[in-house]
Amino acid sequence: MGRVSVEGVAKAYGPKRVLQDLSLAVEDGECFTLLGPSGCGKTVLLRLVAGFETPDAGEITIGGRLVSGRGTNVPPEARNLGVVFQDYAVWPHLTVRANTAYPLKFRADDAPQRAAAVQGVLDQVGLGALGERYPSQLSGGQQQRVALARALVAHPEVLLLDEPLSNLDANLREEMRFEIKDLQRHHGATILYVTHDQEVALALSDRIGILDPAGRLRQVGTPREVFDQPADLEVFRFLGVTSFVDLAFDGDQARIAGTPLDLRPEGPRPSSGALVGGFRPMEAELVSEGGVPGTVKRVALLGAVVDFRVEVGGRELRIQQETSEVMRGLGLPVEGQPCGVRFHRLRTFAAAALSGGA
Amino acid sequence: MRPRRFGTAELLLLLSILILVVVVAIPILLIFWNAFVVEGKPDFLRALALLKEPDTLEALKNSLVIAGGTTVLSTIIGVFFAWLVSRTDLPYKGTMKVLFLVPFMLPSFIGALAWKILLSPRGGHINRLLMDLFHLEDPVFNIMSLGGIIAVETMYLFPFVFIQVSGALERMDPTLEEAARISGAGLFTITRRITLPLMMPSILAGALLVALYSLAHFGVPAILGTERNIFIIPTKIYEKIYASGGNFEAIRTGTMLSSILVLSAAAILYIQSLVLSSGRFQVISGKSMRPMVLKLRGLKWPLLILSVVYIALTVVLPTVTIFLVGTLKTYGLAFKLENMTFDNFTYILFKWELTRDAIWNSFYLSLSAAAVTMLIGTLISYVLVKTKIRGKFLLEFLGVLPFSVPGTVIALGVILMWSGRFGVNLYNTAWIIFVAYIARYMAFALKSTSAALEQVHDSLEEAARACGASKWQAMKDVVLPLIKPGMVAAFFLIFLPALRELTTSVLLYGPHTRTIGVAIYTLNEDGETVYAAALAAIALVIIVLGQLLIKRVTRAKIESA
Repeated sequence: MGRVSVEGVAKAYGPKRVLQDLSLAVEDGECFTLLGPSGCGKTVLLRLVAGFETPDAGEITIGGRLVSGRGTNVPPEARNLGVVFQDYAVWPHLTVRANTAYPLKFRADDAPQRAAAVQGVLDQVGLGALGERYPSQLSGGQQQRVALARALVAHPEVLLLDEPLSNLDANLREEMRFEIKDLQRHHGATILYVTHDQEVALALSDRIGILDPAGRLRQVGTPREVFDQPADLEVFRFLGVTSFVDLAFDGDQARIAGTPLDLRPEGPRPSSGALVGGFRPMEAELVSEGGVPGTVKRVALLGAVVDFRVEVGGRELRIQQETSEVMRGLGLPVEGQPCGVRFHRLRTFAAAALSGGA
Repeated sequence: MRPRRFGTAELLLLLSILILVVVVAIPILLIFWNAFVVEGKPDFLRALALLKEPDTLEALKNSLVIAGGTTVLSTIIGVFFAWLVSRTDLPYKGTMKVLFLVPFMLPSFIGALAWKILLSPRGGHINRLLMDLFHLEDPVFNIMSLGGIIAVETMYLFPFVFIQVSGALERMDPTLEEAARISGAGLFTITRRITLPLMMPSILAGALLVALYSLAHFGVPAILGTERNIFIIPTKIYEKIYASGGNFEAIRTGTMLSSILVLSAAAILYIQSLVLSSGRFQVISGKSMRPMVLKLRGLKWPLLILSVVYIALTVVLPTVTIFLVGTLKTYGLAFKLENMTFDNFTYILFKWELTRDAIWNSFYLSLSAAAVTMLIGTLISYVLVKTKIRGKFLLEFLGVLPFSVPGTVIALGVILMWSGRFGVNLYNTAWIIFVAYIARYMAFALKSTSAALEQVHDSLEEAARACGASKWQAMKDVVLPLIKPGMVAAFFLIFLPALRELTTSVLLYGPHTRTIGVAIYTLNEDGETVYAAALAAIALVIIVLGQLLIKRVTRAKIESA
């Protein structure tokens, strides 16, 4: 009943077209993350679903009910949503309890029922003892919990979260990430989560939708799918640190800078246009003999891993290896030293989209 | 994009524009129209010819001298005392800082009245005292001169510079000065090369405010200058409108002079916005830090005495004079107990219709104007800050207008607009003063409410909507409680100055619509110095009580937040 479906939605601000013909569906009880760089229109989509903005075209349904499009525009207060904002939006003139109780004001529940619901949800987010405090007396993390409690207290069908963790420090962010996941399991609400933080997205979501800077949906899939089998270069590049090499094919034999490879790159191979091979830092290693010839540009010992920057065929590649492995093998190379690179895994992509550097 | 239907936001925008057009824009337009258009055709030559008349030219020159002199003197005094209380180890710094702000509360025309009583060439008490004491033939001081006007204006306007500069000095990053010190610069060099240049925007901002006010003030030059044929633009406008019985040439001269006032005010505000937006302010951070403090050593106590004497002369002496003169049985009697009586006050408060009416008029006019202006200001600020609709730029432009219109100009504008030209004649009624007050104080309301609204982030309102609140419910539960302090501040920012207003009301009052300021002024004109002083004393009491009330209200706000 909490299914959110967006169909053919478009939104422009003046001449700036933010979203065009965007469609996606969030299944009932699912935690769906919309991941994209800042300015890609993900927050706009969330605001469209919430009803703070009206789409120029397309339809939005929540729980099977048409809320936007075809001349309908259900105001936000009638959409039965919980929203958590990036800046928390906790009301400074109300106590934690009053903030949390506010959504119940518009329900028929009687007073004791209401008080119990508020105390219940405050206990869940770990603020049970702080009900009479004002937001100015709380830390950022605690304010975020108030916002969460307020969004959950009325048991909305759908919970919309707009980068709720980005204002928190790293430790708190990790902690809250798990808490949100727990709360969702407990409440069973459908979650639409918007973020540019791929770590949060991968850790939290049942499925992820990846938006490119132009506001187009590039891929939708489970965290594993999008991470392991990225649909295209854009998706691959957005998830983690990546490097690229120019690929040439001689029949089935792939070559880099004239050197034949001993592995078959994965993925479709478009017949025309230049191709690149993409990999993550741990998917290649430096070898003392063989491999594709390159030059070590920089070596940084980061502790458990060593971070190399290696030049191969005019491109700078980022390669990481476990420190113990490096020490056992060729030892720490000197900067400027020639070396060989062996790839464990390469994915082929059309190079057309690879502009502006990897 | 789908055409949007005409919704609430559009309606509010239209309403806001309409209010500003009627209250501010049309009156100003009428002034320019009357000044430069003759029989439907633009005529700048004849307008300029009017300005060349000797008495108008003289008024323009005096305005320049008084505004210039007041600005320079206020800047010197303001910067000096600001530096003294924020950068030296002057004893009782905190108390002195508060004391230097007191002149702000006092209406300058009441001060002028006191100084006239003390220092007018023949009858001034101090002059007489000095003449008796030293057997002099001629008076020592003449307050009724250009210099006298400059001196009195400075006493009440220098706090503008003082506030700006002391605030900036306290917020300035002390490491900027420490860095210079480490580089080997002496304190004098640091002050000249580092501190002063950094303070320049604040000093300029304060100085320009002084210039703006001294150019537009009516009270001081009217009380000290008119008798001696010293006119500045606002008093000349007053004279033209009153002395000539409203003939067309006089009104044209008035509108010409008003146009000059508007244009110079706009120029001053424009320069100020340039100064404030120049990036040099960035070295001054928002947090307060411990500034470098100069040890005054031997000068410590002499400088404190100087400050105390300054306050005593500019605040205590005039105030005491007003109260004492207000108790005299007849003006001119010596200040002896047998010559004093409280009957003057009871007479003014309860018996004399003229003064009783004036107090009552001022009260209900200020109260209603403050309430209405605050509400309209909130509405306009809401549209400006919170809505995203086309046509908003029009409101943004109109919203700047109230800031640049001096009180005299507003008065003349509403006379032109509400004297039957458009079928409504409010002349000689309280309504015309009410309308003028709204125009005059709109800027205060806009400033204070828009600042409050800007602090209420959109997401706070949206969060309420997402919780199930309707637009109006969200407004009531979230937006209004959060901007209430700003609205209360706006109310008092209008109520208190309106209570003692003179510049605008003096052009608009009718037989039964005198305000406190007008009554004091006309009583003084009529030679009723004792009653003028008594009423001024009552006004001072009301103002002080009002200030204390604000303090209480705003402090309660801070504590509850």
